[in-house]
Amino acid sequence: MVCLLLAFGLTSLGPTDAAPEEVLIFHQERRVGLPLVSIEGRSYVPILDVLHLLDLAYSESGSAGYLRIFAGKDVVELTRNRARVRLNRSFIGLAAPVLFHQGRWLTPRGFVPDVLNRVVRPAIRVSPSGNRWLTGGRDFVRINLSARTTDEASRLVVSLVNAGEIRVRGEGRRIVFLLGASPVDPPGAEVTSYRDEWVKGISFEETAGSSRLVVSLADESVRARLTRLTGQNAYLVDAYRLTTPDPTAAQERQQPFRRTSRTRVSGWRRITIDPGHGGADRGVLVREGLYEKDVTLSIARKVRWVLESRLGVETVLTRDQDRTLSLEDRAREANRSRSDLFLSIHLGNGTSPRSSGTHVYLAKLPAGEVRALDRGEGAAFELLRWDRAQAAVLHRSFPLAQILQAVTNERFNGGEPLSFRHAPLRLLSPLAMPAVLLELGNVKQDEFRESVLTEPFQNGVAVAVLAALQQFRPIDEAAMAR
Amino acid sequence: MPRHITLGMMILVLLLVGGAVYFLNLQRQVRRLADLPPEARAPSLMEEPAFEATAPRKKVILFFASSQVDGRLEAEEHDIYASEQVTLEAKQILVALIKGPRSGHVAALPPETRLREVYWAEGGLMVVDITGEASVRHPGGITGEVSSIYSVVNSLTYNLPAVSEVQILIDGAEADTLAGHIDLRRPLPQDLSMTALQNEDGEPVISEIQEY
Repeated sequence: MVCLLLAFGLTSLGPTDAAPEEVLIFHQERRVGLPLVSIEGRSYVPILDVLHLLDLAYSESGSAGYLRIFAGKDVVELTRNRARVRLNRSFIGLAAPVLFHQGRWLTPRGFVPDVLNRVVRPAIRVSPSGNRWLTGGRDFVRINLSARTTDEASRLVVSLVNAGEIRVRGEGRRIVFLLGASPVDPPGAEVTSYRDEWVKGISFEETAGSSRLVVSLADESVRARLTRLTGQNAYLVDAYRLTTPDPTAAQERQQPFRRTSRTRVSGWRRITIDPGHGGADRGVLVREGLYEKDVTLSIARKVRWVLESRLGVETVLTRDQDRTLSLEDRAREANRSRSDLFLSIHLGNGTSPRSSGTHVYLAKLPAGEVRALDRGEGAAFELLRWDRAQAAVLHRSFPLAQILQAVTNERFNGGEPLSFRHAPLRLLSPLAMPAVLLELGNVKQDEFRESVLTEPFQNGVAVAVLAALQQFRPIDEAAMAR
Repeated sequence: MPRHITLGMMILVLLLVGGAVYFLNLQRQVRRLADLPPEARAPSLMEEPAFEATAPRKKVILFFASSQVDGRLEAEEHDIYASEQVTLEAKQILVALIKGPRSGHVAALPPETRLREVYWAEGGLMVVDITGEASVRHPGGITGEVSSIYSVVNSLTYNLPAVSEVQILIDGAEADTLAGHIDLRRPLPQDLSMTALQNEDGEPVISEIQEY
């Protein structure tokens, strides 16, 4: 797989070589274009226009050749044809002389950041490109973009600095970041000319009252998913192409839990197995000296062995030893490994010895966050918090839970038709792949306590998982979308 | 050496030694005072709010864990003092939940748990602050944890129409989970799916609440 890493921060762009014809000033709620005056290849600022805009007092005499600017107790004095100005009792040098030309006072562009900003409070912020000024102590919205492209999909990371709350919406084959009226330092050509196989281009559009960044997808077969990163104004745009239907699709249509005919069946790539608890987190006490963490690790190793040998799949154990591991780290490990499936193994602790049953648990997410992204004709993407990644694949976890519960009922629950359960599990919600948690038995039952470390029981669990996975098939499309 | 000088020297030495001892002693005392551990502050544990014995009462349905079926919540009718303040009713409900059921059901929170405070926000969010025993003394297991949390969430949302979501704090702080599994970082809405709608005799237990 060819990985291409492109990253460019727009903030690092210096002033452009060609002299801009005007400076755009964002003052209060207004944006004012200030045309610059070009004399002998150097651009000058008609400074009185700036003083009027900022409401600064001044006195001047073109014939006497002086201009005095008053800001509070400070006085700035400019002298005609002099490349230095006086600020109170000190002098500051400029790159070029101050001019009085055709009845207008003209200063080199450096006058505003180098001199005026010493007396104006709050200071005027000058954009890195130099042709946008922002008053009132505000900061420019900066757009940073990085892109990562594989031979299957591309991922753009759009991060917006100082943008506040923004809206993102899909318009046909375009993803539009609505930046509102905030002053934006526009991205340079290096970004707006970005394109790859999935993304036709990125453009920055500015109208009178607002600006927006538009990511255009290449064609009809490209889909994109938008993910918002928590705590940051950063978005991942994953653009990928739906695979063309192939002959196996017809065969797949027989499968009870197939989701869309545009997907194709392929083998498992990677499965993450998570032995519950570990280290300082011992889980429930099974019997004297034996804790849940020891049993889950032992079972997870057995499951790994069976899956590797029978399915030929690569497996990842979130922990292969007795160590403390946070729920976030488990989820991170699984997401990073781009597994096709996540299975966590726990032991049950019933309220009484009478209650029994092995249950499969599925994530429960707040209403409204569960969206089936890969189905339907709706928007081309959805917004997702990182710790709600499971919402995007819950419709695939669902049949997995159903199958695993059915196998479990047959093998462990004496044929009793128990159903899988939903719970707001901290572990499952950030997982970006079909994910279930298997809670085995009830440690309050003597029989179960005695059996948990035995070969037949642990093999039974591994074979049950294998049987379920043989019925549930990974779908490539979702893997690509990640 | 003349005698008065010897005497003077001896007095000087005595004064010096005495001063040194006094200084060292003082230093030790100051250090001890400075290192004094901060007075351990007991959490402001909430007892059941006081009401006049003649105050009007109302019936509420509390949810406890089933002793028969894992993961099921059983409803039980209790009496509390009616109050116009939603938090006063909530406190009574929570204290009763911790005290445990009258019938054969199982208390869903460890008996050592204490209620610290209850807050209510206009939008329907109730914040319940309980002591760390709820976590530390929790027997563990996902099913038990689900029961603990939803016995609180459902008992409050079912009886108090002003409450639509419940956020549980442990020892005054937001907690990741109660006992290692269930996400407590966000408010949880009512979930009656795990609740038995009938008692053991098959009579409906969840019905309209009557005030009297």
